[in-house]
Parts: sequence; structure tokens; C-alpha cells
Amino acid sequence: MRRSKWQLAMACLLSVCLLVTVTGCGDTGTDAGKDAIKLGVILPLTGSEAMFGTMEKNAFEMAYEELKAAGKTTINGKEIKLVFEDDQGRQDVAKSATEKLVNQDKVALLSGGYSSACTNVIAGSAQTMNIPFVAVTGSADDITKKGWQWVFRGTAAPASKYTGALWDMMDNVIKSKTVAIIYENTDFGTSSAKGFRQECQKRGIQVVFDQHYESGAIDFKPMLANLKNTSPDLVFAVSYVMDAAMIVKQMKEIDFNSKFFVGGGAGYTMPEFKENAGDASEFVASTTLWVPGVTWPGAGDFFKKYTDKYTKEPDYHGAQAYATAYVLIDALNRAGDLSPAGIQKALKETDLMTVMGPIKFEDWEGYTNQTKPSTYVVQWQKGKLEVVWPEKVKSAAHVYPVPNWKER
Amino acid sequence: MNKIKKLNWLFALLVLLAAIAVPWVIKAPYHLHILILVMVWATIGTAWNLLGGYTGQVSFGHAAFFGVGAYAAGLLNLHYGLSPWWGMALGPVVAALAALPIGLICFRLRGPYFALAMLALGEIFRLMFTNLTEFTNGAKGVLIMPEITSKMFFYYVGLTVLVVTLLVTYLIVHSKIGYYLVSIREDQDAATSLGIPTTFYKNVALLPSAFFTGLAGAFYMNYVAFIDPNIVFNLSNVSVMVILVVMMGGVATTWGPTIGAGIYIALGEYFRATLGSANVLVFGILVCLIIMFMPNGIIGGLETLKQKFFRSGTGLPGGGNGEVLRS
Repeated sequence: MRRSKWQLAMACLLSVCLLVTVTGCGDTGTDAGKDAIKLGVILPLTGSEAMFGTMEKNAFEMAYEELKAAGKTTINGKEIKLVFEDDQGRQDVAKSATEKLVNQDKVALLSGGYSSACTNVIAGSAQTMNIPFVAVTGSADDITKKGWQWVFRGTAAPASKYTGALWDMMDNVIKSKTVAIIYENTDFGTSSAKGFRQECQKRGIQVVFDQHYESGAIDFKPMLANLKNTSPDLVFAVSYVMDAAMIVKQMKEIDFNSKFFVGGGAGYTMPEFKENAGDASEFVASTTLWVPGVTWPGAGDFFKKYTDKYTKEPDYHGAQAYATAYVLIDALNRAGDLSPAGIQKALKETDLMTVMGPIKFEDWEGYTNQTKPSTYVVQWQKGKLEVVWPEKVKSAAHVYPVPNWKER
Repeated sequence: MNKIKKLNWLFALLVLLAAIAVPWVIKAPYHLHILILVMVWATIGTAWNLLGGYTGQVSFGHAAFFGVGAYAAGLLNLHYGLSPWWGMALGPVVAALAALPIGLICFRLRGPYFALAMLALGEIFRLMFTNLTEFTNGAKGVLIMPEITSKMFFYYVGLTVLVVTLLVTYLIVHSKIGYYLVSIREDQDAATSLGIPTTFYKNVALLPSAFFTGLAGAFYMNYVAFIDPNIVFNLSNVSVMVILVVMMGGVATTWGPTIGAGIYIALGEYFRATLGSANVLVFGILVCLIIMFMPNGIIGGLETLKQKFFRSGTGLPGGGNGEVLRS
């Protein structure tokens, strides 16, 4: 009897709670300040991609503070405000967030988008609602290949173009005859692998092993054992953080040696990769879009400031967000009128030097509003990520071919 | 009894009229968007409920039907350039066809076999659609450009889908078949001894369940306009979520899944928009509390309250209509 009373009381309480919150739902967004220019940013702040989303949010806020100090965040007496939304790494939530930002918060333009799936959905919604959207990280080729005039991508290369610098290095130094490709079976992974495969065919390089694995896989030994049998000169791998670390660790365990192991961005440049892989990370190379040591103005300062402020090192994801914030606020300052069309026009005319290099939204090779990317090859040397290619910006000499595991 | 039945229909009619009036009152597209998502989930929940709630055959793989329905719409557009709205016709049929062999095999057995087979089916479909890249575009997913963008249009289509699903489910459950289904859940041996062909009737529950889940999938594709295998065949975000939606609203009740979906989606979105990074945590705790203290869901909880408060007043100890159908 006592228990049932307790249950009854709880049931009452919960019903009341629910009613209050559900009815409260209708009120959100009505207190929107009318004198602010809102800039909506959709990032994964919870869920499995939160590590990247949080870094990008921090970078956005840091850039905003700097621009505020420079007096760039007030236009005709209206203040620019950042409105962050969490997409939980899920695309239906990304759609909800887009709807909320555009229809409730009345944002002037949209940005963000980490995973390719979420970026696709945000881009599609932005295009149908005629609101400019500037993608930060989502890099599947298709996003800027649909001819969508409202979608811009400045700081991220299309996935199949991540390897520009690597191919330059291949032609000049590595000159592999046989390569192996392993990649995570995601949008980003398949796009990257496809781009790499096509470049191989163009050069007549033989692909001796070409296999994908499920995201979240933990045992790579069967795949690596098969890979070992084909003994390729070079291994190209596209992975996120945990799988990247496990792949190189298990390669060491089964004593598989190749002359060069290169990752296709994402996981292989993260500080967490080095922490998890330990000494197996030594000499692992990766393509990347940005490194702290790059020669673009402000890149080193950004790295230092971020590290001081958040006591964590940023990688290229942070730089992408930081540069995007500058691009957005620059466009808002130049826009003749703050209507979506006015901002779209201003974005189209962007020509800005950022920590990611010059940003210009151009139409080329079937892409629309896509910056031509600058890419780099980096290599872990003594626990530090060194730029080894292109030659003019390198911070250390490349190690090629890398020594066998036993000879280290 | 008859009077109560009439009152119930009247109530349903009032709810329907209110639902039809909603877009003329709430014009904000964001709120309509949330209501559209609610209707998608209410449809899947109602479909799941027919099988899992009334018949007691718990499925951990409704994502398989949802995904097949969504892909039917997407692939029609991708390969044949047809309007994805044709998927609304094809998707449910394909989903029901996919359900048929599983039902025919697993329903001969008892115990957890069906639940496990469905769990596997969802994952098998996810892997298949990821790896058949020629046919499905693999992990790149299918992106369509919707021709219609009016939220009001989608609202009414979604409402129609939900109303049809509710109506068909209601009619099945309240026909003779409904009593067969409940008897299978309550005691299969007793049901068999009364001459009910249990395997057949379990399939009778499975097919409409898969059909309407596929319909919801095809509608979802038309609305969200982008799918990939990890989204629509997702174990936690689709298969398990539908179970939570039904649990929250009330298992084996007519309105339970709809109310559950309403609360789950609206509350989840409200928390996401207001609580920042803590949103998933708070939401999770709330769901735990509801399941702990209202094990029969919101509807069940309300019923208990009603009984407690009016126990001495009215002379209806067992509750009214439909009470027989609930455990």
C-alpha cells in the first residue's frame, strides 16, 4: 500500500512535469532579440563526434571574441550573435536544428556541419529555404557538386581532393609501383578512396589491395594479414581516431612493413591518435588540410592562443572553424543589405586570407562555390607532427622509406 | 458498453478535427516540422505496437522495414528518375515482402527467436545496403531534391498516413483477429488448444506492421530528402527508439504510441534546444524515471490515476472499453 502511494505520487509529479515542459515548448524562440544579426552554427556537441564539434565551437567563439575586439561584430548598430545548435551527429536532428535556426531564430546565415551526412541535410534544407550555408568540415564530394547556389564550402576540400600534396610527393619522391587502400565504410571514407583509386589508374599504379571495414570495428588483424601477403609499397588508409590507432598498433603486432604508410586525414592527425597508438604512430604520415606550422598568416598564433585558452591542442578541424568564422563575419560586413540574397552575393565575392590560406568561392570541375584547397603531407616524427611536403613549407625532412618495425 | 464505444469514436473524431485545424493555428514551420516528425514516429510506433504490444512478438529490428521503405523511395528516384512519392506505394509492399520469410520461419518457434532474428535482419539490411554500392550508393547515401517544400502539405500527408495506420490497427485489434492476437500473447498453449493457428495469426500481425513501417519510411525519405544506411537501419536510433516510444506512451493501447511519439520527439527537441550539452543526459534520466514509475506508459499511468481517484465514485472497477486487451 505504501509503495503504491509512492508510485502514485511519482506518477502525478511526472505527469505535471511533462505537461509543463510540453506546453512550454510553444514559447521557445519568441524572445528573439530583433536587433541582432544571428549566425546559426550546427555542430555535434554530444554523441560520438562531440570531440570534433566541441573543438570547432571553441574555435568559433575564439574567433568571435577577436573580431569583437576589432569592432567587426557590430554592423549599423546591430550586433552579430552566434547561435549554436547541437545535431548529436544525427541527420534528423540536424534537420530539426536547421528548421529551428531559420524559422524561429531567423538567422541571417547558417554554418557548421561536421559529418558528411549531417552537412548534406543542412545543405539541402538551406538550398530549399534560400538561406546561405557555409560548410565547415563535411567534405563528401556531392555537397558542392549539386549546383546549389546557396551552399558554400571554403575551409574543407572535397574528400577526393584531400590528397593533392600527397600525389605531388608520390610523383617526386615515393614513386610507388604497388599500393594498398583500406578505408572506413563511410561517406568520407568511400569518397577519399575513390579519389585515390582514380589517381592511381591515371598513373598506372597497381592497386594490389582494396578493402573497406565497418566503422566501429576493433579487430583489423585478418584484414592486415591479407594485406601483408600482397606486400604493397605504400598503404593509404582513411580512418577516424580509434580505428586509426588500432590499425597501426596491430600492424606493428603482426610485423607488417611497408615503405610508407599514409592516412587520408581525419584520425591520423589528431593528438588522440598519438596518445592511443603510442610508439606505433612513429613515421606514420597523413594528408591534411592544415598544420600549426603552416606559413599562412596567423596560423601559429591561432594554435598558441587556442592551446593556452582551452589547454588542448587544436588540429585542422579547429582551424577550419576559426577561418570560417572570419569568412562569415567578413561577408556580413561587406554585404550591402542583410537579406539572404545580399549575404549570398557578399559570400560569392569573398577573397580573404585566413589561417587556412586564401578563401575564394569558385566554380570549377563541376563544383560550385568551392575553394581550391591547399593540402599537406605530415609525418609523425619523435611524437611531433611535422610537415614534410610541399617542399617549400616543410618543417622537417621526410623519412622514406620508413625503417622496419624490428630495426627501430 | 456501446455508449462508451460511441464516446471513444467521438473523442477520436474530435482529435482528428483538432489535428486538421492545427496548421491553420500554428503557422511556424519549425513547430510543424516537429509535428511531422512526431507523426512519422507515431506511425512506426503504432505499427510496432500491433506486433509487439498486442501480439507480444517483440521486434528489435523494425529499422529493417523502415529502411527498406525509405530506400524504395530513394532508389526509384536515383535509378529511374521517378518521383520519390511513388515510393509511398512501393515501399510498404517491399517492406511487407521482406517481412514474410522471417515471419514464416521464426514464428514456428517460441521464445526469443523472433526478437533475435529481427535484430539480425536490421543489421543484415544495414550491411547489405552499405556494401551493394552499385545499387544503393553505399555509405554515400541517397540525396533527393524535394519538389514540394510546403510544410503544410507534408503535415497533411503525414497525418493521413498516421490516421490510416491507427484506423487499420484499431480495426484489426477490435475484430475477432484482435482477440486471437491477444490470446497468443497471453498464453500460446491455451490459444493453440482453442484451435487458433498461432503461426498464421502472428504473420497476420507482422505483415501490416511491416507494411506501415515501410510507409513511414517512404514518407520520411520524401520529407528529410537524404538517407544513408547508417541512418535508416540504425539499431539504437530506429529499432530501439520505436520500442521506447511505445513503452513511454503505453504498450497495447490505441493512443499510446502516438502520445509516446509526441512526448519523445517534442521533449527531446525541447531539451536539445534549451539545455545545451546536457540535453541527452537529462532526457535519458527522464526516460528512465518514466519507465520506472509508469511501467505501463503514460496511458497506463493515467488510467491508474483515474482508477485511484474515482475508485469509490464510479462503478467501473475494471475500467471501460478495451481493458480486456491489455495485460
